[in-house]
Amino acid sequence: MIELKNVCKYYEKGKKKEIILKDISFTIGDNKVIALLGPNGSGKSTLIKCICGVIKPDEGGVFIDGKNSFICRKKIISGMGVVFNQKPSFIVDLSVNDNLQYFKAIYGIKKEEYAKNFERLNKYLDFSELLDRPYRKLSFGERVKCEIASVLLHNPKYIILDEPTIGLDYGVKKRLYNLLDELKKEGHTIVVTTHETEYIEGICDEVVILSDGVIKYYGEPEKVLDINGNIKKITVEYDEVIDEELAREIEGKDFCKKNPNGLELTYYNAREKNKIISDLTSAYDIKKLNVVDTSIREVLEDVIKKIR
Amino acid sequence: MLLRKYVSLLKIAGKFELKRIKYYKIDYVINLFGKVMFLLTNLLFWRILSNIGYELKGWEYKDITVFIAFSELFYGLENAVFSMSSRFWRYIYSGNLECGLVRPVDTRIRFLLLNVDFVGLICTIIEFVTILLICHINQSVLCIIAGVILVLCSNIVLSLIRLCMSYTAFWHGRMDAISEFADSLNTFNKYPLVIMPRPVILIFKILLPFYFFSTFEAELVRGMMDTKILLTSLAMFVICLLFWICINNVIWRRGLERYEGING
Repeated sequence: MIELKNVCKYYEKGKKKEIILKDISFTIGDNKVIALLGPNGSGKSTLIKCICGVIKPDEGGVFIDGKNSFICRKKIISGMGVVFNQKPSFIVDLSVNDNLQYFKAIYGIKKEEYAKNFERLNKYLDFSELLDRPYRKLSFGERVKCEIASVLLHNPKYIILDEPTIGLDYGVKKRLYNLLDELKKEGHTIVVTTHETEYIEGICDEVVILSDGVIKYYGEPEKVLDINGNIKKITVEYDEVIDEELAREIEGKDFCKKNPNGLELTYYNAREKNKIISDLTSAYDIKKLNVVDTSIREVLEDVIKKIR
Repeated sequence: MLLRKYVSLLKIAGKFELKRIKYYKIDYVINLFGKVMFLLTNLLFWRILSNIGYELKGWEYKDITVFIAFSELFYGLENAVFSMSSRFWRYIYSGNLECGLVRPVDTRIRFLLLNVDFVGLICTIIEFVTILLICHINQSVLCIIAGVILVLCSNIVLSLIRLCMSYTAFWHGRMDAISEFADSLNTFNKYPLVIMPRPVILIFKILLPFYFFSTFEAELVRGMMDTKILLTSLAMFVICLLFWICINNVIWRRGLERYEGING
């Protein structure tokens, strides 16, 4: 279990203190997947570094299975697999296989366990053909695949991934989330920071949305709909405009977007549903009107967009 | 358990070195040529001094040759194993430290092990044995082994000092000058430090390990000091070693507490 208790982090900017994380508290239970979301500079990576004990919080602390992650980093780190996407941990002039053998020695992975884990990871990340190539000659996406594989080879209990999907193509990205889903079912605890909300709904038990170092939302992804007024999407197809002034007013609103076929797509709050439908029917001779729930992904993106 | 892990990492680093030799043959050949040239010019320098009748506080050419043997051993070990400790600041400054901290095994030791120059190490051993054979000394093997161990320990102390300097990157970021400054400490290995005034020698025994780079070892092997001085010097060296181990750990911990991370 990972517990964050009143985590605060400040950086010194001249004589001033810049707040990076402010009073962050939440708990990640065993066998859970949690996504940290938020715009750039919201404190996601700093929080990840606090969780794995690389950075010491100025106040509060992170406790992994009851142990302070900064103080007991050496003890807990062998049970963790951490990827910092933008930093290579491989030796650049050696082949991928040499590097993996090196990590095998570092984690003390037994031959059979290594072979088993390698096979499983290769099934999802498809990196076996890169083994003989020097790391420096790999593309960014290929490097990311190898980095992820290298931290999962020892089958860690805690998997912490800082923007693991950057540089990956759609297929690998999808397979990576399938892998995380499988690992979750096996009892691993996963923390992932991402800007991509596409896969969150299916795999994440909880999401934390950060903005300026403060938690804006913490809870199940589905519940984000409740607190954001159950946003729905409305699709309108009309024959002609009845009330031009009203139509102009509707189309002028930022939630109205006209597509080339003359259809109106409107995102709106369900509480105002009746008023908007009434306005639409007054303004247009409606041919087709469709009201659907927006996906969690769309709502999460909307929330992040609003706090950006 | 931990020692076994370090040994296995060292073996892997050795394999990596062999692969690097295969990849970068020319670089290794030139490197080897450079080492031989350096040694020959060094021996020639002291030979010329000896021929013109220059004597260093009772040190004969044979003593000087033993000094050169230990001095070369020190340099060789320094370059082959410990030289990266003064470059450690780059690791901190660039943020690669984070990748090291999230893997088991002390990131500093991993950093040094991965950068061991095995070819340089083998050359150093060959060089050391060759110089001792050339000067036909008839000292006990035990004394020579003790000298080698002392050189290795003084390398460790210097490495600890260099690491301490590198840790300043936690506070001050880019520390390019540190590498140059730390390398300049090797100057105290160019000549026997018996030429220094007594107070300086005392400092170089207790606080800084310079006297033990090669002067002390040459004196030990050539039987140039009595038992009392030998034992007190060794005691001073132990104090020096412990002092730097403690200082190193304190600054490292403080630095980690201060570390702010790179890239968010």
